[in-house]
Amino acid sequence: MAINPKPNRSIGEVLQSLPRQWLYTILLIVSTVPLFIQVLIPNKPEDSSIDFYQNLMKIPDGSVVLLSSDWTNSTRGESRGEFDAIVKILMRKHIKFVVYSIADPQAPQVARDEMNYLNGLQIQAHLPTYQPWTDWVNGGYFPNGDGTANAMSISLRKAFGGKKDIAPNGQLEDIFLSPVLANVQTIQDVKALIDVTASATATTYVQKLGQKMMLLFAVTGVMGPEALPYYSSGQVSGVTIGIKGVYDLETMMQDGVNLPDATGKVAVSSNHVVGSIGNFPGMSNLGQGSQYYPALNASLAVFILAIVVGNIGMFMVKKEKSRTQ
Amino acid sequence: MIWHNFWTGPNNSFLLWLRIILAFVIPSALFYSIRSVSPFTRKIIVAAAFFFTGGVYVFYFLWPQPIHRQPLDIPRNLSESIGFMLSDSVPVAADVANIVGAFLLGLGVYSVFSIHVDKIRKGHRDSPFSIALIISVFLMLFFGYLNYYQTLKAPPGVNMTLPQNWHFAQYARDFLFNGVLQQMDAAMFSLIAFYILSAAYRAFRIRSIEATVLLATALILVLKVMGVVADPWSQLVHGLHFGNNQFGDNFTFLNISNFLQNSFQSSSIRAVDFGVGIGALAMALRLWLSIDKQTGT
Repeated sequence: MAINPKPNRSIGEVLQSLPRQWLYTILLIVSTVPLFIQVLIPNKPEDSSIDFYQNLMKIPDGSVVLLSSDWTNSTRGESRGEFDAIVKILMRKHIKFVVYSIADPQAPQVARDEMNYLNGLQIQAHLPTYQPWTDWVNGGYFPNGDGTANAMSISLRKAFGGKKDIAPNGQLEDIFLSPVLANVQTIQDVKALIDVTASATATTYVQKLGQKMMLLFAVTGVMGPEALPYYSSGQVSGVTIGIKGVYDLETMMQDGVNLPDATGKVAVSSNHVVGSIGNFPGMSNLGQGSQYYPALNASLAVFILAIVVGNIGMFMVKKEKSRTQ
Repeated sequence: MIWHNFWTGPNNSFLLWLRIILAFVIPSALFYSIRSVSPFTRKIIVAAAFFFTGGVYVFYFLWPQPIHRQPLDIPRNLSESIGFMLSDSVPVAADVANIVGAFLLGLGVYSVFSIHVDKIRKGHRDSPFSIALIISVFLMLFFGYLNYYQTLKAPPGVNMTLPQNWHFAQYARDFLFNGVLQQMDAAMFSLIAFYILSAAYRAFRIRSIEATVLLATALILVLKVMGVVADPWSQLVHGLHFGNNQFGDNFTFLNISNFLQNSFQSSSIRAVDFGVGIGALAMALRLWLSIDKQTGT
């Protein structure tokens, strides 16, 4: 049987056509191994994240906010970390919230499961849990996001009218009977709308509610460029983007902003903030952001390396061709 | 007649019941009668329906609206009455749209179901996958509704959404939803990273000036996210200064990428958004006024 020998390929050609299985294997290893190694990478939070944290911390303790949870597990790498960090802050400031979705029918159940997970962490840390119905309620899913946001701007009671959640007696009750919404009459009684989103819901909220209340967006890396113009125009009070945004939040929860430690050293400084913003000392502030950030760094390094290798190969081939001609 | 209260009425009042009955009878009669009319009349009816439903939002946007309206406020003249009625109409329109949206979900399930049942019936070579899909749908439906039923029928004081109160149905639902569906969802999405790497390696080549600019910009934005590179670099350039002027700070990856994003990226996206917005407005007008070719045909 005749064997076709592989043609002799130059180094440039080899560098340009590495088997994709190699690339996949390298990426798999590089993105997985750092998840099991706890390394704290130095971090300088972005201005948009600092504003997000600053405005979240300014909300008076005991207030009510809306938490639009527009993500499912397809983007949990980013959105789950954002949701966890935000809810931890809300829990610690005793801010009550309504969680609902205008993007995905699965999202309210994902949020409910995540609240159970976060309450489990509270129990492990011997801290009080955040009780459904008393501290937060589930507003469910609204298939028509635009219309709902429009209705919310007119009357929150009418927009959320008829929505029910499980009360402590185990029965479904109107969410406006819960301690969370009992004193809420209009949208002005709600201090902020926080949107954890992997969809284009940010635009909907800016259009319909931007002039009525403070908006804070926690978006995926892909949606970041779409949300940033609203931040730079001042229509949104803060934006946190992707895993870097989660790590920014966790860093600020750990170190505050412009806040000197016992030795007088300031870990996170920003001329964007007048004075300082507090932190949560002695609490488990680090979570998914610090866990995933090394993997993100390593994966991006592989991307850069792959592009560099491909381009070196291209130049080598070009050089060889020009030499032979 | 109170104009601003058109959509609502006192609980259990004759007026409210009359409206509820009319709201059921009139659309039902309209729905059945539309089937027996000529195509031209049908086209008129559909166009009128489009105009009135879309008109709620158009007139709400154009007509002066009550500011900081309180629940007991009463309009003082016709203009305010119309403003009150329109602002009362929008939540109702949102409710109708949400209900229609929910029906669309049902329609999607019906569509998937009919396609795969048909495949099974015809013995298509992919029918095992269709069988797996149908079984999955039924399993999810069964345990989903069993969980819902048990939640409603739970003993007083027992919240079945909390894991400590779960029984078999709740664990089964959790396994199907979180253990299977959500994990597959995440796995599918994570595959994108591998395709992006492969595509970037093969396609991202410095073949022209435009490609070089694009690559350099992307590199800066990526390096900004990489703390292992961005932080040492920041410390390095921080040392560059003229007197008290921290000149070097302009060259941190964070500041360069902020400049790129605020100056070029945001303005470009705004331009795209304006274009999309004007296009959407044109399309909305065509639909609203039924001058689109597909309407009623």
